[in-house]
Amino acid sequence: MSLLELKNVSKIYGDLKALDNVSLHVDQGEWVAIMGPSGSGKSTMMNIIGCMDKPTKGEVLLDEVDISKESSKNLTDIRRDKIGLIFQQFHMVNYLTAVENVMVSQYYHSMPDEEEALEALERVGLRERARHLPSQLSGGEQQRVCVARALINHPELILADEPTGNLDEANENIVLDLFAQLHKEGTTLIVVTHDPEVADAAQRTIVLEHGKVAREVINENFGK
Amino acid sequence: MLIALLSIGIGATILAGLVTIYVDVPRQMGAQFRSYGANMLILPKEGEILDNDHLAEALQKIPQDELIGATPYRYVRLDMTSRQQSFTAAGTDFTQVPKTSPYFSIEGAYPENTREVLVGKSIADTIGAKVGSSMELTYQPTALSENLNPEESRVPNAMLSGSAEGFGGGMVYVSLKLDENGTIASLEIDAGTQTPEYGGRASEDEAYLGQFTGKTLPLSPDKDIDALSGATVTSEAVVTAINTARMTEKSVKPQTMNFTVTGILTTGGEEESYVFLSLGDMESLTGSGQLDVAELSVSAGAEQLEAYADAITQDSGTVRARLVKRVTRSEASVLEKLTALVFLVTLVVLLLTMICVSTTMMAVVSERRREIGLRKALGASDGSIRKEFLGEGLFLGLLGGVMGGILGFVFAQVVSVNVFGSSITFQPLLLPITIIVSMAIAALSCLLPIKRAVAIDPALVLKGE
Amino acid sequence: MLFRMIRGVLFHQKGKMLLIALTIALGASLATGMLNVVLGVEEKVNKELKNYGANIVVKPKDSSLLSDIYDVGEGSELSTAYLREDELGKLKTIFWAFNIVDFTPFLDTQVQISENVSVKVTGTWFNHHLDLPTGESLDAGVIGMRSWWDITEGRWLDEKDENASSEVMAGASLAERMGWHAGDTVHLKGSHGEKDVTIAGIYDAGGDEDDQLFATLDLVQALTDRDGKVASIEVSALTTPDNELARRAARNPAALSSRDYETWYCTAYVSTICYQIQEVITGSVATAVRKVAESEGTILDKTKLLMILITALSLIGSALGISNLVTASVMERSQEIGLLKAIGAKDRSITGVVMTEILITALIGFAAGYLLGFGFAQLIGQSVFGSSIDMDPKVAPIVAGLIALVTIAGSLPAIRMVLRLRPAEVLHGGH
Repeated sequence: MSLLELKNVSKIYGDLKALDNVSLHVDQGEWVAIMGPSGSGKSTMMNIIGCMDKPTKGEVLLDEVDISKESSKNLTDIRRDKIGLIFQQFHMVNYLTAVENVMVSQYYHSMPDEEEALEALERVGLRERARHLPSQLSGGEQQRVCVARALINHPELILADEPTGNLDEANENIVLDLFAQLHKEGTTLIVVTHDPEVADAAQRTIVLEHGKVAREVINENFGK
Repeated sequence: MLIALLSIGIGATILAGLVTIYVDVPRQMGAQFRSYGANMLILPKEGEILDNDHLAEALQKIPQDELIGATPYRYVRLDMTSRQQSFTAAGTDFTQVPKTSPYFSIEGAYPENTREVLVGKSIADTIGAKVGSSMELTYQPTALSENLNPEESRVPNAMLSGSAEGFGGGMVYVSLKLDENGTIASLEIDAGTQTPEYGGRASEDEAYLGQFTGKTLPLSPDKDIDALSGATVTSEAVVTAINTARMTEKSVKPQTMNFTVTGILTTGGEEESYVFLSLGDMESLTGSGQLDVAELSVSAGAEQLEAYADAITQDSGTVRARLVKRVTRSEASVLEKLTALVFLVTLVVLLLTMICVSTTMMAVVSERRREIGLRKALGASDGSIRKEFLGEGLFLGLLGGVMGGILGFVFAQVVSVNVFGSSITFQPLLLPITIIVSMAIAALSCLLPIKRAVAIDPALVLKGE
Repeated sequence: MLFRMIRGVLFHQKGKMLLIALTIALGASLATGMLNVVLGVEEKVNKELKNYGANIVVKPKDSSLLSDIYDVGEGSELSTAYLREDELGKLKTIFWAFNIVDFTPFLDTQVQISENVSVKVTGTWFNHHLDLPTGESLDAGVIGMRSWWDITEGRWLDEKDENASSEVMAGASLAERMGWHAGDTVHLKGSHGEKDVTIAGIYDAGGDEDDQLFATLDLVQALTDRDGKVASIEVSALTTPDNELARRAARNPAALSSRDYETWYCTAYVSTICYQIQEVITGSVATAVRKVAESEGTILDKTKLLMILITALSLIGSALGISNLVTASVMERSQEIGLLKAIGAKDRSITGVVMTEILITALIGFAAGYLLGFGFAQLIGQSVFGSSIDMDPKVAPIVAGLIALVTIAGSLPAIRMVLRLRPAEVLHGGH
């Protein structure tokens, strides 16, 4: 069952076509990687899927709902309810502690629950650092908190943009293991990356080049 | 950048505006105090006479643009025989009166032509005068008193009498009448105590007596008069007696003139019991153009006023200047407080504003920490970064200083015109000073945050908070 | 959660928030200080202007002209009207009693010093102690009313001294003419009595008053058999500058509407105080001494206007400065705001949180600034006038309101602007 479907989506800035007539689909529970060099349009695609931007042309169906036609206000709601975002630059609110950063996400979704937030931190292995400020956490730890924040509301879709781009290998593995767990639990994962190793962790890789879908690669070795 | 520029601009505007106002306040406020009226008086020195020429000479010592008004006054007693009233009358120059007594309140108008008077309210109420009424006023010359001196006596139509010691200690008496022009019309000599054949002949010798007719006083013995032959001493005594002769009682005919009341004066002070007429009319009535006092309104500080008064008194043989203590003293004390007030206020406002500008600059520069870190990471040296940001700060200071200097001056001008009704004095030095101060503050407030930013490890900044 | 966020900002972003608080404190102190000075300066300058002497003179209704006309003032033969000495205290019972700063009665006469020398003597108060029914006490008299006199020899006559009525003050010109010095004895012969008096001191008034003597009221009353009578009263009062209403009322109070009448009566115009004096002093007419009253009005008006304009400039300056900084600080938080939005926060909620944080900071700044402003006002009051400036209670809410207004004006549009930015632009700064 299709969770996400892009139909002939284009994003045009003047003469530049960031996305050129892209069509793809992601099924519920799938782990998909979107790969491509920089300038390929993957960030643009991430923004559109993440309800942070609207396409110039085409339809974007999330859960059968065409989000390309929705107002920004509604997009915010949709994003909040269905999608968990993980950014490359681990954006945290720098005056809130780790647990509070996670609770912020809860706050806007339903209700802050410190215990639940602590559990989420535990899942990423950072329960002991709950009361630390971002300035007191390493890059990898910050990213993990962001992951915790992304999944606290049990979103249907996790959208990650270069989640391990700034991480060392140890932290990268922790994050990828986490993704595997989430996948097992049935969460749909879309990971945008330029790193082939990260792409290989997914079930399927969509390769973008110059704003177009160049090819799709099914990962034969998934799960092994 | 805009924020920093705006902040500096505001600071510079306040600096330029307030300082311009502060520097000009003593002059502007000082001018307001002229509404209290005359602050200097010109009086005759002991035994001298004050007249228009002496007055004009004294006024030379005061710069034109500081002399707001100079009003001459002559006070005499005038009678209104129809009502059996007698008032003090002041002869004056009505064009000057409003300048030295701006608090005069006139119902009607100041006299403009001859035979017109301004009447004080007390008098108007007593005699029932209104604007347009007519009054007949008579000048009765003063009775003889020791205070009337020979010069004062030489008025048209006067009758004078005098005496002097002649030959052998005996007194020679003279009695003379002056004509309209003040020259001798007729002369009687009583030389009874002198030697009959010589000095005694003065009483009858027609040729001798005839010499005096038409002569102007004082006489000069050698030039004007040939002595009686053989009676030099007596002749000298006659001349002396004539030159020291004084007016006798009621020897001048009273002068009466009819006046129209053009205005009624209210002041709440003693002027309400005076009648005011022009100096021309006063001279016609009394036969003399002498003045009693001149009231001056001078726009200058206390020290300067004293300097003028001293200069006038020292350099003139006939007149002296005196400050009106009540006015100058009070003005000095109040003006001093007002100036101090504006000064302190300016100081406080400036201080706070400058701190504000500094904090804003610091905030703006701090904000660019990341940019600084990036540049360092790209290889820029600490020195070049410092130079660049300092340069930017100085440039902002310059721009903001220019903007603020102009705006501040505009503000000061608006205040000056609306509060004092006159233009502010442009301070040419102020614009460059404002610019320099703005640049200094901009630069100084950049220093600390730049120093801190440059000291940070670029990686820390780039990690991205 | 909201509480946590606010606490987080306040405690972990101390540096930035402190800067905002400091700037607001500076602006608030400026506003508080200046507003209090503006409100208080009028009274202070008014008091200073009392140096010029009386601005109101009270005379008996039917008289005044005679002694001036005949230049005689011998008094007794001419039955001029008088005011009652025992009514003087009533001056401090009028509605505007508080504004009457000083007053003193006068009674003139001519006395013979010797065969052919006659001199004017003015009987008056010097430092007359009054205990008022209100509990106040006041030392009224010429010593206060003639602030510009210099004592060149001797000392002021002291009414509290038992010999006061055997003393006189001599004007400098008169003393020079007569060769008098402080301590000399002079014989005065009035119309109804004579007395030997001592010259307590010689004064230099710099005017006509230098040519006469001043003595106690009792002495002159005794010399002229006018016990309990005074010829005029000079009053020095703090007044509000005249305006249209005051001028209309001065012409004819009866012609005012009852509302206007009340407004006029309850404002300390010169005409009002004159009117109220006439109400309590029998048979009197009180008029403004225009020379003093008009000028006072002008100077007070201009001083106030000048101060108001300076205050306005500084208020505008601080308002701009504060809103400038607040806007800058909001812009600085654009990433954080974008993040919250990306996480799913509604615009309204983000606005609410950020505004609350800023307003709390503003509150802290305001509190500190108010105290600082109090300090400035007192500094100015003490240094310039030697007295403290009363803090007007309505200044606090005004300044608080202004600060709130400026802070909101500085932050709201900025927040809105940042929110309008797409989170994508804000968060992917590097791409």
